[in-house]
Amino acid sequence: MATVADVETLEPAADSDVDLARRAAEGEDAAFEALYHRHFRRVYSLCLRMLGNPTEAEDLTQETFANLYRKVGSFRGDSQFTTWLHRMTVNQVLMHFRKRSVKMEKTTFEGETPIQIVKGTENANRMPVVDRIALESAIQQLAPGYRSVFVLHDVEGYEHEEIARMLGIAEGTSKSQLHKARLKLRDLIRKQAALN
Amino acid sequence: MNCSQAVELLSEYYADALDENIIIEIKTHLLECQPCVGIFDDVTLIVTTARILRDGEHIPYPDEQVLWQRLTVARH
Repeated sequence: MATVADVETLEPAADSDVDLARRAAEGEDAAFEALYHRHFRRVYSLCLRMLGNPTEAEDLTQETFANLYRKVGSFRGDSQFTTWLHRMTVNQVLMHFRKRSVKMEKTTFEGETPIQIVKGTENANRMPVVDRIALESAIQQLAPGYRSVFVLHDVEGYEHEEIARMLGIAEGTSKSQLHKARLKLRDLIRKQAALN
Repeated sequence: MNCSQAVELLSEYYADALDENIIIEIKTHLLECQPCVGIFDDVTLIVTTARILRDGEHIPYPDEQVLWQRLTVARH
């Protein structure tokens, strides 16, 4: 039998995500608003990175929170709320891609020149020290499929198995796209540095 | 192992996801190939920088309150 202490530890702390989600599901608008303000930046930054476009990121952020409003009652607390909302955001963006008929790129870059290594010349063109801004800018120039895999794996920390499931691609394709995305980013950063 | 083969495997090498024999081949190649070391270092730098992007501190965010009002209108 549960003790009073056990029951107390099972109760979510006041204004924790779990508590706010429960209250929002019961129709308390202020609780939903608190969840919105707490998670807005995280949702927007993920949308922006995956979409590469601020206007679309705003729209998808709005759609994600509208979806959260409808589904917050289905949050059971089995995972962290942030993880649950994160997954919901990713799904929202992927659904958007599907609506736009954005194809996940094949494992090769059609029409792109593969990396050519000429002995003795490579070091002269080494990538400059990469800062956050340069990398963010380069990420936004990636094709959507490569960008999704790179953002989900290298920025958000998902494993290939999960990415493959989310994107509906083979795990090997996820690995291959990640590698090509990294090489493409390197190329973009070097080209940008050469222009500056 | 030539350069193309080494470059193709650099991400998996970085993830330590290759068989030991292949790892040895790549290590041997990197010992004698400065261009490939350069690519490996660059990829490593991209991956480590990507990790610190997660905090999202440097992103120009839109007005949170304006989006909240749009959301409120859309919900009702």
